[in-house]
Amino acid sequence: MSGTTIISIRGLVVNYYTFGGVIKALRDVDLDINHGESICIVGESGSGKSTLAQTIAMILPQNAVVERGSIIYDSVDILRSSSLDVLARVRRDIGMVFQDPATSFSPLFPIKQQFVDVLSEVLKVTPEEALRISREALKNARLIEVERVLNSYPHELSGGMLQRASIALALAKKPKVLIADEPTTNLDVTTQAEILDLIKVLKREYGLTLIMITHNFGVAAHVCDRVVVMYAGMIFEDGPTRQVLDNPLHPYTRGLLMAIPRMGRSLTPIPGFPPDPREVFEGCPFYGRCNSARGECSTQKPPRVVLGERTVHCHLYWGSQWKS
Amino acid sequence: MEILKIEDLYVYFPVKRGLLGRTVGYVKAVDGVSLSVSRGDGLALVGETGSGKSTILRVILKLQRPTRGKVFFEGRDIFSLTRVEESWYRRKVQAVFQNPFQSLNPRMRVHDILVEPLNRYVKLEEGEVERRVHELLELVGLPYSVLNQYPASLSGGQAQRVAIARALAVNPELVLLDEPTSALDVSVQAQILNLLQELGRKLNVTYLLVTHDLAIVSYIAKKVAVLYRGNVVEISPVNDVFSKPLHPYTQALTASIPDPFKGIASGKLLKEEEVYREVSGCKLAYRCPYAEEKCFEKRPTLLNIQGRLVACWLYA
Amino acid sequence: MEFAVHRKIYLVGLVIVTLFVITGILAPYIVRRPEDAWGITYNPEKAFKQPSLENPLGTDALGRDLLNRVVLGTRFSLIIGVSVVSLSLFIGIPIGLLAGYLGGRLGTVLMRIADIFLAFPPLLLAIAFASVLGRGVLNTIIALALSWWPWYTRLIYIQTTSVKSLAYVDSARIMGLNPITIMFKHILPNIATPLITQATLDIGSAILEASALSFLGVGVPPPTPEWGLLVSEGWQYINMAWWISFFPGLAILVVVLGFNLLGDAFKEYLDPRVRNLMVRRKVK
Repeated sequence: MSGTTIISIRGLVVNYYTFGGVIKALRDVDLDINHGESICIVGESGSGKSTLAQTIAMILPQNAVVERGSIIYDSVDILRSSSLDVLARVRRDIGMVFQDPATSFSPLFPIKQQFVDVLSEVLKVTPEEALRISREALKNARLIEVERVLNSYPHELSGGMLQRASIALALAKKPKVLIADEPTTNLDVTTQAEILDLIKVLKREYGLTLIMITHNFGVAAHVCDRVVVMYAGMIFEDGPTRQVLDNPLHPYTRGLLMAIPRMGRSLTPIPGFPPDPREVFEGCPFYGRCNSARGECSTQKPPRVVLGERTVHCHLYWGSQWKS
Repeated sequence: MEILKIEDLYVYFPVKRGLLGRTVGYVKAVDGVSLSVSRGDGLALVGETGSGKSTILRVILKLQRPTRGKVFFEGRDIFSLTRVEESWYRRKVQAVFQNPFQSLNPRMRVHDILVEPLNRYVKLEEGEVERRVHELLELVGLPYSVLNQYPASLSGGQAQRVAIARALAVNPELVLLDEPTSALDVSVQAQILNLLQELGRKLNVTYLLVTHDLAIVSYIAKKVAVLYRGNVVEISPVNDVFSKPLHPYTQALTASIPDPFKGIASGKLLKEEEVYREVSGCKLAYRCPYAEEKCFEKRPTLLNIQGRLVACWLYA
Repeated sequence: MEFAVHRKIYLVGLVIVTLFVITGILAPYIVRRPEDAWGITYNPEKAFKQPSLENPLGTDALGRDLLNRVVLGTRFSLIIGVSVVSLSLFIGIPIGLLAGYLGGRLGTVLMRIADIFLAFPPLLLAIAFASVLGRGVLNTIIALALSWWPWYTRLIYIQTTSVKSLAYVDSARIMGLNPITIMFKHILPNIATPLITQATLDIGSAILEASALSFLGVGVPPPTPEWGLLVSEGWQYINMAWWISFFPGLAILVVVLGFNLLGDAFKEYLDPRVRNLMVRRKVK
């Protein structure tokens, strides 16, 4: 996995302030994303995966606060910079696709108008040029009836078509990075396969760096060459997809893989349930559910252990990085 | 022994346009479905959006009237029951829905949620009610401390367990499961599936599962009915559906399941349908890689292939 | 509570309403000479006195102390305001629930009836009812409630129709519970919140409308010291003894303002998005 690092995240801590308490969405996240990678961030609810994506794309809601940390993109720490220039660059270089395609489109206007409005604003072009770009983008997204889609309202299109349109919209500005947050979760399973294949093809055609958020390991296996497993706002494991799935290091990853329903296989659930995101942990947040837990797991934060191409945050592996 | 039998079910929803509400067409949610559920074996209804599986569920729960057709529970037509029989039916047939935070009244404490069905159907003494409530909690693996809480302060898995406990409170015989794990995290899904499996065995309950996720079917039922656009396209035992799917649609479904160890086998078994159209032949014809002329003209009926049922001209 | 302190203006509303309620409850006990306020004898030597230490709000045309009258009037406004809203809820909630839950033809018919009431300007309708019923505290309450219930019915109807397709209502139905239980035990508690907010706000409006009715002569009869009536009694003397109409009018204004502020505070407090914003600002 050679290649330059285009996004470098260090020590990221993000909290949400709500009337019910302070939600610790991200607790000290370190991550390097390399140019041309397709990386899958896998986690359950409360893992912080969506928050991470939103922080990178700079679209956090108003009650979110970045307490600490840095995100270096293009030699600039985008969290520290208040320059409009930097914001504009992020908006142009990072495209996002969301779980619910309705999020990308307003139900009140036809698709054509929304494409033209957004693109002429972001790319600073005339409406005619924006329309031309839109047509091209929709064709690239393998939509056959481009004119019909442009003239339709969002509710007139099927889920799959609408998601293709969202992808087209995100890619029309020719971004460098595409962040897809659970892009197929709301779709039928037969449509899901097509959209995932589409994303793979477009990543190649547009030369993108892909960050995909999902809770499904199968999706990660199909699309990404690198997988990052998150839990309770922390990264637990990071490595090439095949290696992580065939030989999971972290007990949580192992537990998850054994809990996935598959035909003819008995299920081994992980006992307990995901922690309350408002809770503060002295040690590892997985302590209490982990069957490999040791003494230090409850009192000390798990260390970051680098083993070749893989990284794991777990007390079990401390020391193995120096063994040959 | 058939616990539930659906005969020639049709559910059409009229589409109204204009100021006067003229009916311009129909959405054919269920377009001629006949099924039966065997006691103990259970049945899984598998389909995607528009398959009609949810509508069928609602009809069985009497939340929706059929346009045509009948449903029999233990031999009785559920839409012509006497008042006493109605009460009996409600007690014997229960359901667990997809989202426990919506299926549990957010303003009721867990204790009251569980007591409600007990008070409705059984005349118990004060102490006995409490005992039964504690029994239910033990059955689903919840601590007594949840009794005083509201659903919102529970986790997804806990809330779904409460919903299951409620469904089992007065000893039903048939429990309908509507996407019982779709709203839950993967690690919790496994817990609930194991729980349902165990309870089914322990309490002798028959399950009717409605889901789009083929992967969970084998833990709940022994037979699968695959639905597409309001029709049954295949009925097979669970093992056979995975190892050797017969209908092209079933083949596409099984191939599309994302597997961590295999990825997705193939996304191109079916052409994506971009327009919904009324057809006189097989509804899958426009998307099917094996379609022939006959498929577009005549709708296939369920054929018996070695004990399995398939609606496809390939097997004629 | 901390929220009220947050936006100082809402605190004002809370204070006003609290003072109003306390005064209303304790009125007969804190007034110095209650008979003075009710009297109908003419005391020319005491009449038309300007506000002074002895009569802080002045005296009226019959020589009655205005402060006494206004304070006693508080009780009437409180009773009328709360009664009107309560009675309207009592009529409006069942009709709204029935129409929303059962739907169909019954629902349409009930809502059309409500629509007919709603088509009239509310005050006009109340005046019409009051004229027919005659003057009196009870009649005023009934007249106002009759013009008010459709608003609640409509609110409940809309909420019920949106809630009845939720899974917990389905669950209640498949449990075989009867419709009345479902409506009152499952649906109503879950739609009560916006209703309570609206009802609180409406107490202020009800007081205002009752005053209007009394001012016009179709509400409460003299010598009841109701604020609207006090305003109308002082109207003809407005040029020479402005205080007779002014202070009761001021009382109406302040109390209605207090309820409006309180109602607004509730609305903001209950909107989760606004609540989260509030917290963030507090942290900063």
